[in-house]
Amino acid sequence: MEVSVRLEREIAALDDLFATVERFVADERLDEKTGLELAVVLEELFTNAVQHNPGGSGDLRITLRRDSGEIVLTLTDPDTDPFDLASEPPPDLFLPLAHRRPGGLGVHLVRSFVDRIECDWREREGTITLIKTLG
Amino acid sequence: MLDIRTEPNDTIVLSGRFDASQVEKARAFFVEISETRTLDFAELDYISSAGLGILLATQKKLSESGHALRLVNVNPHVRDVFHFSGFDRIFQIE
Repeated sequence: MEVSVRLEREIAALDDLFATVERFVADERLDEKTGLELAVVLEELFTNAVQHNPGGSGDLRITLRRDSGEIVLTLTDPDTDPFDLASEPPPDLFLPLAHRRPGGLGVHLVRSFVDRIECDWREREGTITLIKTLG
Repeated sequence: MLDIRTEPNDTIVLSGRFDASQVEKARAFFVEISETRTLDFAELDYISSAGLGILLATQKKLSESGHALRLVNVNPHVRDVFHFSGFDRIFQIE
């Protein structure tokens, strides 16, 4: 099955996002660990879009779909500049505390919890597709 | 929703979800901390990079005066997030 939700570009919309994830996890009978990882991944994508493109027009659209042994997540921004999530440099996790910065952690967590990331952009509509293989 | 409370023994208990919508509330609490404290995560179900950012800022501030946050009762999911972020190297987790 597939579930989808349209979210305004504001952090307060996270509650609707989490409720959608919980519904999908329950319907698909996924385990708690997978559910929490999906929630982290989608929160990071959503907050990234809200914070980096607050002036874009239209709602953000998120879908979750189970496709055999995979979970396919998408976030579509109907009005964004081109981006390539996969090309974001990873944070240096070995820096001492004094030099650590929070920047880049969200994308790093996304990479940690999914198996593939694909980005598509045309006529200002950008879509990030994430594929998570179920264990 | 994130709830933060201080126990009589000064342990700070976080419960619920530490996500991006809770950052301002958490920042207002953690900015007041100025010495070593224990954070009990037994009731913390979820954390994202937004929550990590608040904890990192607090840990950096405390380290300048020789203090630190110490984490206890961290559930497996939250522990995974700390591990993948490399935060298990900069926080004492028991």
